[in-house]
Amino acid sequence: MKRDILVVGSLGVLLVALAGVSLVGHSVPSAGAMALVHQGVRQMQRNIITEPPGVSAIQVSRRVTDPSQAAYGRPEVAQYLASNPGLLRSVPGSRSPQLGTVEFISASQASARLNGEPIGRPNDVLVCWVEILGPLDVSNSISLPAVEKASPSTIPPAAKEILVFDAQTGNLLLSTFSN
Amino acid sequence: MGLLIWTGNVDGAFTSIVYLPILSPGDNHANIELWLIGPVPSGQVCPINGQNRSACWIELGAKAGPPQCNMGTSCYFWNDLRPCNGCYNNYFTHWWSNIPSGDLNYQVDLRVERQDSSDFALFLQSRSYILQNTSTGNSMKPNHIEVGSEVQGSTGAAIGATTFQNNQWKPVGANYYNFQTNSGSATVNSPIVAYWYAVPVPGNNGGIWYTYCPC
Repeated sequence: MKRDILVVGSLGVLLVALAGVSLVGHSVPSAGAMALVHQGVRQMQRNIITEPPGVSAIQVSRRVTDPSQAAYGRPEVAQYLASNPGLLRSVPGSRSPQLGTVEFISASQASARLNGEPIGRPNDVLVCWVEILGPLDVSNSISLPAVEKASPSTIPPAAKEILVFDAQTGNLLLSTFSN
Repeated sequence: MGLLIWTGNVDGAFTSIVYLPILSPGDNHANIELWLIGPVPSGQVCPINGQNRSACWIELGAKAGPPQCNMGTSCYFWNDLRPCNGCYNNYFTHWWSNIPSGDLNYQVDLRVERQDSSDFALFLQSRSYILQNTSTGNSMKPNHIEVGSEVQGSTGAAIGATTFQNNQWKPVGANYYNFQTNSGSATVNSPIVAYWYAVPVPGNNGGIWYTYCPC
């Protein structure tokens, strides 16, 4: 059985190396595959991105070049939520979550509201602050480490979810919860 | 879950996901990632929605399934749950990017390390990106490292086969990394399949931890 796995693994590596074909299935890299593994804490050879793009989210309605202007408004935020009902997962027996505040503020203002958490944008850049009013079931938004699973194993509902978007691209940058 | 835990005071951790697999979240979520975990400092709390957790942590990697990720697209992300003085919630998720399809089946390196007394730098290097952010105002003193795969939910999840290699830890106060030379403690729950394909020993690169979830 182990030999079979090794053979499958070797073929998978060969396919990737020669044809760029996806390595799929229950394969294990063979000893030869180690040569493909970059080792150690590698020297960074490309530009480091300290303002990552975020996850694509809101469809912007206009193009803006002035960084103090937003490329969308509350209707586009509402449309985003309507097309992502998972963000509005209610708690059984409670009212349905709904869109609350939508504000365009600076990244530094957003950070100050979040106990100093960095937003991933320069302080003066405009971001979109969105509140979803719950209670919300957020169990699928949190990944607990193994050493933490037992204490306690369930996450309480969130009274409010806060989403921070890039005001120009509509990309989601940060999410968190509040009371 | 198919996770490894190494215990001991550290200032950083590194791992390489050798082939970034396809993550299928099913009805909840699927993750593949690295955690740096510390105890809750005396007099402080690490709360999620008013619930004080027994540890604080920083995590980074890839996930699929939470509604913040687009349907059918996995995301690079990082989280921190940092200590605070009596706050209600200090759990934040930073959404780095959609995962480009060109990153699948290529190596992704994950690193998180102390920068100074209250800041930790996070790095993710993939075929497409080198991403860096900082967990600031973080008084955590890490004493656990975890790496591996995790699924949650009742149906439909899957994680493609991959391995974690280059498993390393940064000693407290040091400016270098050591390869793991012991197997740590494994937590493997069905349906995830996970095992040491090569155990860490002095002279290799922190072993080869294999994970797969047909689920």
